[in-house]
Amino acid sequence: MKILVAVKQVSVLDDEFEMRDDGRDVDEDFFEKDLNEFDHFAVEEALLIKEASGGEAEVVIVTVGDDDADDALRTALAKGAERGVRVWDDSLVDADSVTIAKVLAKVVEREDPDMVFTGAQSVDFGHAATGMALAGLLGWPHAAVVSKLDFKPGDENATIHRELEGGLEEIMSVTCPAVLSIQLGINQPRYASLRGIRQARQKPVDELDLSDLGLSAETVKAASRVRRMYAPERGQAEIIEGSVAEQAARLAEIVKELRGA
Amino acid sequence: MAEILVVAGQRDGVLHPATLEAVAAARTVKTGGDSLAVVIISADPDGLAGALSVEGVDEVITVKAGSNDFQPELVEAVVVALAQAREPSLIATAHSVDAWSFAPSAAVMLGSGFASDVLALKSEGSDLIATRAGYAEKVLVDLEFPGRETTLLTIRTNVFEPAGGSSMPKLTAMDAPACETSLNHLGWKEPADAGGIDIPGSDFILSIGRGVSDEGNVEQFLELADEMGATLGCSRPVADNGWLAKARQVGQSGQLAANCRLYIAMGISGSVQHQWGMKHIENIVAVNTDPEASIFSIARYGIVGDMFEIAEELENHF
Amino acid sequence: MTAQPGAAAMAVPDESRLLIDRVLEARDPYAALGAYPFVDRSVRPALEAVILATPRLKLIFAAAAYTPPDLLDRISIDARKALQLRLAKNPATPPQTLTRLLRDDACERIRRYVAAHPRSDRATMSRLADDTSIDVRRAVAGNPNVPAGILAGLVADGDGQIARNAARGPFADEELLQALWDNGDRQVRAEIATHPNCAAGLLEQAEATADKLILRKLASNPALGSSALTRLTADDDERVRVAAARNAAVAGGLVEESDYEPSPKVRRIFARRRSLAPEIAVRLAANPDSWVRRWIARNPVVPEGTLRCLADDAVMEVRRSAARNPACPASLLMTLAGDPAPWVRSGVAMREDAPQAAIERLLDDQHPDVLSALGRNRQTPTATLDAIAHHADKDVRRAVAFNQCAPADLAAHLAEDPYPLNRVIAAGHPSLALARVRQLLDDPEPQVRFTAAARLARQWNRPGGAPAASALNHE
Repeated sequence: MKILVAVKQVSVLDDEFEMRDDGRDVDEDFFEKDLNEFDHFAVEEALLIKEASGGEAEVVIVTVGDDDADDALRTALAKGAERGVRVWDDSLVDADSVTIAKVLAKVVEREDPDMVFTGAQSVDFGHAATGMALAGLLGWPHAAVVSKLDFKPGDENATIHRELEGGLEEIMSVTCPAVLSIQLGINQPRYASLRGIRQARQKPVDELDLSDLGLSAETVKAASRVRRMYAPERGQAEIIEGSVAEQAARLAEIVKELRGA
Repeated sequence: MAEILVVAGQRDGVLHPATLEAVAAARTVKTGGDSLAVVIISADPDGLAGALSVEGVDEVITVKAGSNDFQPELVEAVVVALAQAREPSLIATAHSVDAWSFAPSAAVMLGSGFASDVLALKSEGSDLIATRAGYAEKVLVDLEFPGRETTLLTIRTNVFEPAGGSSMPKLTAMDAPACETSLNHLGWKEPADAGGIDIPGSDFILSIGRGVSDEGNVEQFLELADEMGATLGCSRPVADNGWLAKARQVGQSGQLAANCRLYIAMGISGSVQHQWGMKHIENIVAVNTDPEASIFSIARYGIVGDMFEIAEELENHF
Repeated sequence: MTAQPGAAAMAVPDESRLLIDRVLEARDPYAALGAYPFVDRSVRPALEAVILATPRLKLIFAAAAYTPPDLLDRISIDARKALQLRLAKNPATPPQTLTRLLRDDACERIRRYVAAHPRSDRATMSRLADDTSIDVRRAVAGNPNVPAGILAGLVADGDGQIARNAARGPFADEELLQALWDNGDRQVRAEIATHPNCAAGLLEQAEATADKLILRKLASNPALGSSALTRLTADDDERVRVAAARNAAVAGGLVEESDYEPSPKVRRIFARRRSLAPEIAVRLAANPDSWVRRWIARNPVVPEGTLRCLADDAVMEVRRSAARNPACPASLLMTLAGDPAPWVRSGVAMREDAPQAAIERLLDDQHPDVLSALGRNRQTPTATLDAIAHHADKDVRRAVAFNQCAPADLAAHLAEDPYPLNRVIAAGHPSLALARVRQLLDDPEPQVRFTAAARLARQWNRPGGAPAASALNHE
């Protein structure tokens, strides 16, 4: 029994930033890199299933990213996953969700897991697409925004809750193996112990490039290309000026407008 | 002359209102000779055709399904069949949770161009350009789809004014394509009413931070929150000091304000830990004496000022 | 903090040398930054090279309020616009660096940030008061340290926002306020009415208006005389009375006359006043509005018998307030320690003046709020602290890291907590043995390494020299 969790190293921007010279991305000096918040929940869910089964399951973490992304992978491994797979190739520099999904599909073929989890979306771009595109390529059952999961190794079906608009949840059964994208709040993600962090440095990570997976730059062509990236006109807070009385009056107005009172 | 296809959504036989926003978005790139078709899959699709007969819709394609249950595989099969038969240049649908499930998989099955959560779209020459946000809304990105005949886009909700007006679209019945379905609807669960202090469930939170500076100052903010109809939240130092219950703490250490729509942060500088619990909220108002507090970088409105003075004035309005 | 003249010639203490070597070898910018303010000037350039090794690090530290001013000044040599902006916004940026940011090509935003910066000096503010941009001039007017002389020049502009900012300036003097009053709209006049530097004549003028906004602001002026305040407590506008009631100058006797105040808002404010006559407190304690009772229960003037009634109130928050009342007697705390509501019990658990018996009554409590409160309480027995430091909830464990009386072994335990923030706090714990602090230089969390390095560097470079070697081996 194996659960594959696909994770992403996200880029968090500081409030002041500059664009790259080609105008297609932000200058990388302004990035802080981190494991995607949603992925903490996806990893935790896999670990909980493993632990509830008495360790019968293996949890494998996969990421598509350059050397920097090794940190995100190790963060997930430190929590208790067995091993990792990191795929990188310089031709992936402009990868979109569809490209990443094509790469992951080959990793799934290679690993043959019984379940695949991803975060419901990434906190940087919020495409909410990689996991479900992967399912489409694999022809696997899939569900997005899973907020509750009842599954143990060997089950033919999992019971899930899908979190819909307005907090309503739909309870469904899904045939396994499946690709599930995991919502925040499904569990309480653990923090890795210092021992876990030290051990993670020694855990095996397969480093693969496209040719190792039988892929090429042409076969993983993206479904979109960035033409231009720019800061929105109103990127910063609208500062409410005036005397204290005027400021408070405007705030009260905002509250009443938004509350429909 | 091109075809545009909009995929409607429904839940329990009720049309997803954002469908009309997707129609409005699609209309922005529709030109004279183009035709716009909306496809609706439900147990009684004809019953929803009227609601879809809005201005700009030339055709409503009805697909009768065995039930109103959401079946991603069925939606994907319909989209693929229609795309292959009609070769639309654009397929649009609302960026709803259902679309999160079916749109990316449908796009890879088609080998189409794809972008999600799109805020704006336009044609530049023969190119379709879709705009979406990135880096947690700090940038906008114009995307192009080189070499793609068809592009599938999911449209951010609450951006486009829902399409109104009326039209007399052609009605086309389409047989539901055969497909294996691997999900079964078992039931619904309404959001829980937690009762008591409920940061995750609250839609309006007034939150206080270190700026409150003394336990004796906390009570007046409880009172203000009560008057305003808000739940009082706080940042970590306030809860760590025992001035407010841990259940009120917003942040990584604490609670995620999952359902909040309006968040007023008073005297909160906005540490990373705090932002984790609230930065996703659409309407954040920051009140802080320090104009450079990082909370302002994620706020929609800011007041540079003293939280006590603002609070005292604010009371006069509720 | 900084080395004494001639310090460069002094030998760097051995332990300090070891720390610096280790930080340099690890090329750890955060540990280097922690050590930086405490080490001898002769080794600072080597640390600087590590701290500012990459453009990314420069950007991070230019924005950080914990970066030492000397280093911020060093960063300002780099003309990259993003760096200059960050320095202009950083509250720790020293005055001479702010002045340097005003290069000839400094953009409007940089000028605006410097204009508003509390550390900008008088010459800089004076220069920016003549800026071509109205937003920059407004920012100068809003600077909390702008002197009256500069404000006087700025208000000549006639700009409404400048007038509003100037009317709030702590250094606005009588003359300026008078000029602003003569030319200002009601919002400006309202700000002036509440200004402590307002001349008596202006206060009288303000009181004579019919404008409730101005009256409300006047009523909250701490310099207002008691007779004017008495008149305002009887105003027909509830909001004016609220402001007057809130004004710290309200005398006890005045409140008495207004005991039959019809407005619940005003009553709530009376209830929080420390100058309240005990007999009024007793009457307010029976008020049907639970907010009034919450305030009264917290008020130390309330007689003990009344407090006992409030401690038995049906509303949980009233009982919590009683538990937080500084004058709450030991026997009542003992009763409240057995309250069914955890928030009330936690109010007792926080108190270091609680009787031992009350604390003992709470030792088996399982609620996170109670456990957190006990965890921080210096009276809590070690065995209980031990259990709290090993609690499953990271937020509960952290309380013990804050407890300055927690023993060394618990500080050491929390210095290995999986939650990084708990390690950061434990790294600064006074009981944590120096040998353990040194181990924290390998922590994965930058802030832990920063704290550990700062602590070690301070220890070894404090006046009076290095600590005895035995202290380092103490576990």
